[in-house]
Amino acid sequence: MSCVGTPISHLRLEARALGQLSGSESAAIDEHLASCAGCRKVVEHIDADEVSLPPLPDAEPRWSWSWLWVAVPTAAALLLLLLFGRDWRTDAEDGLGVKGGSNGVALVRESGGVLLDPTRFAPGDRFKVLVTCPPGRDVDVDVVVYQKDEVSFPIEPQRIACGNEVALDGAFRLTGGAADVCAVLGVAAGDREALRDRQAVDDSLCRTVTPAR
Amino acid sequence: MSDSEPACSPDEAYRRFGPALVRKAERILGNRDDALDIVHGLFVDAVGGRVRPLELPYLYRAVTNRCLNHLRDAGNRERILSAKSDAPFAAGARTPLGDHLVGVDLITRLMKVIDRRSQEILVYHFVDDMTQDEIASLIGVSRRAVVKRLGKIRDRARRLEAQQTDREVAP
Repeated sequence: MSCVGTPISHLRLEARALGQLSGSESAAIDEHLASCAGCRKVVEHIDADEVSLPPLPDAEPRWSWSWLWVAVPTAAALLLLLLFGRDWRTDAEDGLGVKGGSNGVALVRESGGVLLDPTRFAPGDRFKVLVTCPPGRDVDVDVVVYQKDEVSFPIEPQRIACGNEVALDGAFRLTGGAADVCAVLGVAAGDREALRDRQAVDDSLCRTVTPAR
Repeated sequence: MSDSEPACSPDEAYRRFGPALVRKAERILGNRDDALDIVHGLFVDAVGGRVRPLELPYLYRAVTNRCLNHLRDAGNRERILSAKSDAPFAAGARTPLGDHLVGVDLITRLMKVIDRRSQEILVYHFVDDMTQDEIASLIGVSRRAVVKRLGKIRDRARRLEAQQTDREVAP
């Protein structure tokens, strides 16, 4: 069954059924549905479909027999290093031990199930922060937002395993004027009072977002 | 001002988004059992912390890639949009590929000869009815790149159709 005009994608129709769209987006889709039998049929299928999801396993316990296969050799290697190895402390002031330019941050902007230009924001848009840092260590991370006269911390500080574009837990929305969204890594992530000073953060880990027109 | 949202656990994301993702996988694979397996496997990995973030657009794309992997590994690409599938929309897509609705058979043959990125775009455009802008945003490329890729897919489809016509006409 063909569609009247441009079809509404399945993703957007599912997002609508999940209540993830803004009022105006839902209203626009409702208007399309009023005249499009093809898209209405998709919505009817979504509403009527009963999916029996098989259960998920429980999360793996922090310690299990399988961990011993990793823990014992690792402990032995560390002992050898302590006894015979070189100084393996990092040189970096913040304990990360990475050279400038090895860390990165990216923003993801989502609205109604669609990913949009992350350099802009509109009411209702949701942002996620992705952090890149050399793998092989865990690092403390915090996110701070600077807007004209306001400083805010939109998500909880957290510890991540470094890697490529690691998504931080939590999402946030922006209102008001242009914002600098900055990721803070390492020991500096633990001092929110100090982070209220814009000069305290590394500009290379900041992204500017401006209101969409 | 920033306004935070609570993070979603794998269990919560599974309950909330699972049915939508199963329907999505079913449109590609043509049957619900395989779709359930794919989505269940995705969230088993999520429980193990290997899938992030747990947001619908990312999960949607992850399911697409797992379905394409499944089809590649099974060597069974004919199941896509099979006329015998249980999925009600697989053969009734709302988006025409060219000037006419493309037959199931042509899509099946197309999937055998186009590359992975083109398969992904074809699925989003023809099976999921996404606009070019939506596809560009989802996979992180420019709209122009999507337009260009769809153009190549259409050209390939026309050549396949022409070959089929030649075979039918030939004695």
